[in-house]
Amino acid sequence: MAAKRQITDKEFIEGLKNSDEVLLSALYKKYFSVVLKYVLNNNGTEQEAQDIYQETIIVLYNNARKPGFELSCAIQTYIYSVARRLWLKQLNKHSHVFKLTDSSDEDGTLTDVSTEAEEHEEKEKQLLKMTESLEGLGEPCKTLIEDFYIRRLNMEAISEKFGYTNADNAKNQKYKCLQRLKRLFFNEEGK
Amino acid sequence: MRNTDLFDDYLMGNLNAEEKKQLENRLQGDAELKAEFGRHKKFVETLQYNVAKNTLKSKLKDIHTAEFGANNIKHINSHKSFFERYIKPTGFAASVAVIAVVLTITSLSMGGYLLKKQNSEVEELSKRVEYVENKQDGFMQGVKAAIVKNKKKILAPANTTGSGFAINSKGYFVTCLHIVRGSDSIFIGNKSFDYASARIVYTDTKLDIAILKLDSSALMSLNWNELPYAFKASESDLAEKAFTLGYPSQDIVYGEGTISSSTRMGDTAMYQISIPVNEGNSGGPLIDEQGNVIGVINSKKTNAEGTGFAAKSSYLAEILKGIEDEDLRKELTLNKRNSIKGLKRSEQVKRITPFVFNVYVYK
Repeated sequence: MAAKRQITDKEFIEGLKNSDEVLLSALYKKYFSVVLKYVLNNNGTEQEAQDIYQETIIVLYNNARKPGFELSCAIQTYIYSVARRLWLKQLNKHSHVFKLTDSSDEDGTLTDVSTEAEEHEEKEKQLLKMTESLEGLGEPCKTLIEDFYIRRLNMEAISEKFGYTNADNAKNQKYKCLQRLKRLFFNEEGK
Repeated sequence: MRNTDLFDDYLMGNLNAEEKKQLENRLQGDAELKAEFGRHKKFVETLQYNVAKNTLKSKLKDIHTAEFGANNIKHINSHKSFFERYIKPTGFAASVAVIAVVLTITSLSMGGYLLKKQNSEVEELSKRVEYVENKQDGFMQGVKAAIVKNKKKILAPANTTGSGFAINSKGYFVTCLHIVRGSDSIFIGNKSFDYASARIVYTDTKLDIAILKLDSSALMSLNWNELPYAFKASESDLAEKAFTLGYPSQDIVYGEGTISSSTRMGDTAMYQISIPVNEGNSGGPLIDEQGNVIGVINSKKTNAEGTGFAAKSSYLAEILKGIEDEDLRKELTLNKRNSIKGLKRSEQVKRITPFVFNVYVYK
């Protein structure tokens, strides 16, 4: 009978570094129950657990990809700590007052993740603003901006796609669109 | 040239080495310009991260659906409604006890234990691959080998293997649920392409059917355009001739015979066939003389060599039509055009073979 080989924490981290989808999937599958149990135990729903868990995996993913990242504890501890922190934040947002119940045994081991969590919260604020700004930007600016910065099309391709007379013209359009996006983004910030 | 455009050229890698150096020098000597550059860079990164994060999040949602089910995996879905019905309304304290039970049930059923009720007269045909004393084998090696780029990929021995075949040109294929149940990862392969990873999108316990989707990047390189065979929506008659293709061994194996009963010992969703099938044949197509798929091989009669069973395509068509999630239902259509009708058998087989493959399951 073949024994099922466990994937080590180190292999998981390597997998995240390399955007390995198979390992990402295996990682996701492995620890969901830990977070599900915690969130359900603390007045959340399965849907909320799923959302918190996905945010947690994204925090881990982003950190694992930072140069020189090293995990100082077990992945499970890290995931549990981040999820717990994010869930606490979410509960506070809705000004619920609860006594949080930690999971028993090794499930509930904690590590300090305040830096990661704060960074994530700050990023989330920025992202929300960016999403709103992009929505407010309208077409064709939104697509043009995404074509250039995300899909990395060159000016010739953009010019052809949007029917501008030449690449310089396209560049001007991109400049105008970007300026508008920046205005939207930073004005929102002033509110 | 506007600073923004110059910064963008720099950030998007459109400057040559000399221009790059020039800008870097300017930034060193000009604190104001450097600050402006810093702000622009941060803004662009936020813009890019916004999209990257949304992409990752939707990928995670896909993984969640594939692993734990959403609306489309029936046997897990039943637990979901259990959550919804019992846990939400109950009080905090009561839910703790219930959750412990639910988690146990969920993990058991995902391990396949609850589903394993099996007719003892029928033997499932997934091939359990035994390998000896080699801890390097298994999942990780399979994965590592499979992601080696630009090289002929070699997979490690899988825990279970079976057969599978395409149902449409959108990258979906069918195999048996008992083959892929409890899997960590799934790969498919045959002579016409390298290995590709796949994930479960739909399962049906009664028919012992799993529908999987190929990794999208793999699909593009595969070029699954026109499928040669159609799926028959009606039932075939007793004594009709049929043949099957599958992977009981490393190479594809052909077998032929007739439909010998329209039920599997009373189960009307299955044909009994007089075609010898072996471990590994599970998930392969049962095809009639015109080149229509009429069933999916799933088991054989124990103690009776030469008798196999296949889930009927008419039942498969019915369950796929009944999928509640509209998006998924539209994706999981069965191919309707048959381009091999009237061809001689060897030619039919030649055309079908690229769409039938070995399924490697790592647990």
